[in-house]
Amino acid sequence: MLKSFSISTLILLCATLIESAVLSNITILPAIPDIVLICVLYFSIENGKLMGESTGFISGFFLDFLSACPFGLNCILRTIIGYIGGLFNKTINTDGFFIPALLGLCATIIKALLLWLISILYPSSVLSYNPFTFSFLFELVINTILTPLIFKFLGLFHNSILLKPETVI
Amino acid sequence: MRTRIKSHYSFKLPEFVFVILIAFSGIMLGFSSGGFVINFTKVGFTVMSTMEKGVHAVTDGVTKVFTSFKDYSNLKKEYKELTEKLKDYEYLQRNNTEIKKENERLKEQLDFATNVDQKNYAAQIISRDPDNLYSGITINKGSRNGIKKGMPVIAIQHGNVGIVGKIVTVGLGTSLLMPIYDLQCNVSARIQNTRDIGIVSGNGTSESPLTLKYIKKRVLDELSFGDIVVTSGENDNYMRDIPIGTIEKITVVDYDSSLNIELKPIIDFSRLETVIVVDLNTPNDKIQNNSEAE
Repeated sequence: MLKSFSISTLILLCATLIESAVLSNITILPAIPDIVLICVLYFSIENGKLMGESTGFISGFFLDFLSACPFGLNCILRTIIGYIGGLFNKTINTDGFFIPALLGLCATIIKALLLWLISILYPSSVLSYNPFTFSFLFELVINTILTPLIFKFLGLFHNSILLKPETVI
Repeated sequence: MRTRIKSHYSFKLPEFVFVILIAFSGIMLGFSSGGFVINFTKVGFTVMSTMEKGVHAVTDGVTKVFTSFKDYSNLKKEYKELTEKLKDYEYLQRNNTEIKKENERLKEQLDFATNVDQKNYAAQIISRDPDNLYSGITINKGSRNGIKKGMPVIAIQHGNVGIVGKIVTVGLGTSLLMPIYDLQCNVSARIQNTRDIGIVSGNGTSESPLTLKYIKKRVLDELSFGDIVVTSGENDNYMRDIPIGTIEKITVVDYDSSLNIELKPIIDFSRLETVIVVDLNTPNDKIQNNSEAE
């Protein structure tokens, strides 16, 4: 489990750095695709609730250091998403195109809903998405398209990432 | 005899860890604006942004390697052309007014950095905020270079000086700045011609216009499109009279005593590469050295 967690953390660190140092500098993109969220989704669905919430928390930690958002926002957001993803462990097949795409779409919508809920609890500092903006719709579409591709890519490391079924919690 | 009440509800490990992580995140979020987490944030930001700086350097290097292959083939082609054109060089040198103009523009930028009253630091943008809702910009200078939290950031673009934002987080070798178009950024400003004072706030994205609020309706006749709005310099947050933007649209709302003015930022943020961080509390060494030499 420790090996799987360490490799997942390393992948999340790389994804965070790609997102912040490479993708964010492509100014023609209306919104940055959330590849970290997609990775957390994969880890949680494949490895269960404990791994999902832990990797979600770690990824939020990385992002909070690099973002101007209030510290802890991404931690709380991604921990919840990781836990929710873990609930679907052993029930969803991550192969193919349509199911992963649907998962990416749902995860982005859940992220927007959770942000809205958190912004109610912390109204002075937390911003929420306007669902009718081009920026949000672009993120929704790009996350949906990228999810199957990233799932396929992460599948290449399944021996190192995936836990044995009896160790999944 | 004591009877033991058996609970049917079992609290498993994932739920336990979930509660712990959520509580920890919630506390961090709650205290993020207070003093408790500040040093922690600084340490984390330093570590993460240093790695980010590394990735930026690697991607920059890789891009240069790929472009160098292309450049090599182009250079070969150009070499033949240039050897033929070499004879005409003397003539071209006489007509280098364009180059002279470019030199003047560059000198203007250099002069600004040396003539401004306050100490300033030139920095390069290395990354932008990974979160689509926030708009922090990371630069390659940090506390090691003299950068402090709250310092104003300006830039020179096409010969125009404009305000960029202010420093919000400082790492050892990197800093995070909040641009003026951020939703949380408010700058005390004046209309350059009429000297009316208001507050400029951002609308979240670099493409959307800035908003100038609290300008009374009575000055409507004195305003015209293209008027420059500058920093007021009040509260000592920013330098005085640094251009912010130009008036693009004026809306009169019946129920409000103030005008709703939209501004086009002086700085084109999509093309911004280098910035100047100004230390308002320290005088410029270069000016002092020049005056001593005189």
